[in-house]
Amino acid sequence: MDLDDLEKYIRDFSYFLPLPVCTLNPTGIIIDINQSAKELTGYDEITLIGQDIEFLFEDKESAGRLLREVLKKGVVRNKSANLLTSGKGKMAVSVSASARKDVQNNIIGYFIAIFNISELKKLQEGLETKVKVRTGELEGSQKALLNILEDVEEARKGAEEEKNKTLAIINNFTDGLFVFDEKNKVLLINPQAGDFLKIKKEDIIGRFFSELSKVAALKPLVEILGERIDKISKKEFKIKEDLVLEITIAPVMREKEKLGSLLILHDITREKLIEELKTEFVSLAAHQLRTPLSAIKWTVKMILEGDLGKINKEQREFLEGTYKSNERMINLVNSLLNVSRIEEGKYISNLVLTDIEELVKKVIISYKKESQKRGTRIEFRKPKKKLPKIMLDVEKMRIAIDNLMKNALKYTIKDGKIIVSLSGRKKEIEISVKDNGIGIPKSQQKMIFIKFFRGTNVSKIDTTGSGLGLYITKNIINAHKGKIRFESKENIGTTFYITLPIVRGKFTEFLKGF
Amino acid sequence: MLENKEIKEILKIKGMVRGVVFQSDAQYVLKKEGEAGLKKLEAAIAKTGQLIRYKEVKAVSWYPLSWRVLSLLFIQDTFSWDKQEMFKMGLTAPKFSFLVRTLLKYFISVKKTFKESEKYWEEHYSTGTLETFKFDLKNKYLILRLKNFKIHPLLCSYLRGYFQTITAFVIKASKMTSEETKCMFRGDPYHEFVIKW
Repeated sequence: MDLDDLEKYIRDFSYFLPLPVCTLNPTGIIIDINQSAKELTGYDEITLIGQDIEFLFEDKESAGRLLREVLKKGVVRNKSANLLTSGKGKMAVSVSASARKDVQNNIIGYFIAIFNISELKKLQEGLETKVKVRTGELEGSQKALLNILEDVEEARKGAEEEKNKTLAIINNFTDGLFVFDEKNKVLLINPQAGDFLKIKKEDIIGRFFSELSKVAALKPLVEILGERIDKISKKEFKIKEDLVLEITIAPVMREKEKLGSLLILHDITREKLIEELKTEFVSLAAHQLRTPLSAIKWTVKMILEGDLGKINKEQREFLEGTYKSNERMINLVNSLLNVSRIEEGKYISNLVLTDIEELVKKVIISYKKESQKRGTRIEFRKPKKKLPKIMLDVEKMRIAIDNLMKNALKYTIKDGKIIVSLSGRKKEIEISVKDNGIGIPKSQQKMIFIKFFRGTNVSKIDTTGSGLGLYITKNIINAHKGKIRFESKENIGTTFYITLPIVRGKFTEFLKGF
Repeated sequence: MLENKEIKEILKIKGMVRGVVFQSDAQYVLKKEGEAGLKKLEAAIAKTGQLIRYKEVKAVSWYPLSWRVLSLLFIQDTFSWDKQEMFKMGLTAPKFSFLVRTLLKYFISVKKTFKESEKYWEEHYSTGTLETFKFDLKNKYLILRLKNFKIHPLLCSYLRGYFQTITAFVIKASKMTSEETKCMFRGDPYHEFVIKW
């Protein structure tokens, strides 16, 4: 190959070579560029050849550093730089350089190859931006997730703590507790409930209420409660002589959603004992008081009737006052005895088939004189047809109706009118006593059947009342499996309604209740 | 318009030159006047019975030195370029030269590079000798002497530019000037070019 061929080969090769290449002399001056270099930089040979290589780069010092590195290493590859082009502005490039040597191994310059990486750089920058953004998003998400997890963990700890506190309260509660879920399955029972009923919680938890009757220790409890525990109720349960429990069923609600039920076993043994002792005491005291009061009654009566000699007007007036007071005392003692008997469960004893209409009539008649004296009219509205006879303890039922009549008369001040009605329905008889008296204040209506309670308005009119009448009446009616209710408006009047069941042919069953 | 007599005189010049110089000429004309300019130049030469086909010239082949003179004269004549333009042509010529890139050796030592310049001249011209008479890095100047090369005065401007660029290829300088201080056509025994930076 001659020099011309060599020259042509080099020229063709240089022209073809897609990689932009610059040839430098040892001082960094460009002495040759190929076609690709011209196209890349936008400069022709005239401009570029003879220029210092730093002319092409934004960072002028980097070109010098590159050549020094080449001198040390011989070759340097892929250094990033910014090329200053003509017309295309700044361009990201990758620069590789190698030392050029002659046959004696003298360094006679450098080859510099410049590779356009602007697109790559843009892509890379785009990717980096995307990665950065995505990383940021992921970091944000991670942070948010961690925060959520922390919150959840904190909430879990809080809930756990609350649960432990609640469990501690339940476990240390002096009352026995059964907690049922919404399907009436036992969720938990506390140790006190286990102690009361002599059961192990392992045997009970997870079982439905309906299955509890299969546990011998719980059978009486289930019998008392009936089949359902979804209604609020309060009942007494005597497990043994020295243990009486008050059983309360209450729903566990969250807003309007029912979560389950709570069965509370409250030990009322002591209260029951005190109540019994009190009743015994009242009974004993009343009995002891009644004998001397009867003696006083008959003695005063004898004196007033002149059996012990003539008395003057003044003496009569004093003795009449004494007689009335003694009568009130006897009535009070009788009421107390009635209350004692009621509380001892011995009150109703003599049930006979009774014509209720006759009984009511008798009571009304007994108040004829008194009503005339007070100017109060009594009207008896009989049933449209004859009522069947019903099982009654006549004496006690008379007391009950008498108490209603007495109150109606006593608390109807002027232009009084009392309407006593008797009516029959298919399964019950209703007696109502309506007056146009002072009425019961609305705020006190709930307490009207409580022992010794007296309305504030009646206390002003009559100071002699004991507050036992309606208590006794209610117990008498309840003992007959009847119901008593009332409607009242202050200063307008009150109506009491008594309903009694009509029992046909099931006397023995009926009697079981007494 | 060159006269035949003048052309005949020029054709008597002895010596050879590498084809690369014609390639450089053609490149410069192409840059300045485009393809049409080059055709115009070739046509002008052809009219005189001479034939320089620039694109067929081979860079390292030897051609008559007289063609070198004729090429420059026809370029000057065809495009009415003055001496300054010829100087500029000389300035750009090394930039198009394959031989400059391949044959001129550059060394870390600038001095050594200029010592090699004599050999470089021999690679281009079969007549004349180039000598680095003085190289003063401290005072920043270079004296080159071209001896036995009394060809045509037009070459003086061209070569001044040419040597200045060659020097610029070796010396880093923001500004460089050149001057022909001695000329054989002015009665001096050699041409002397002083290049300062």
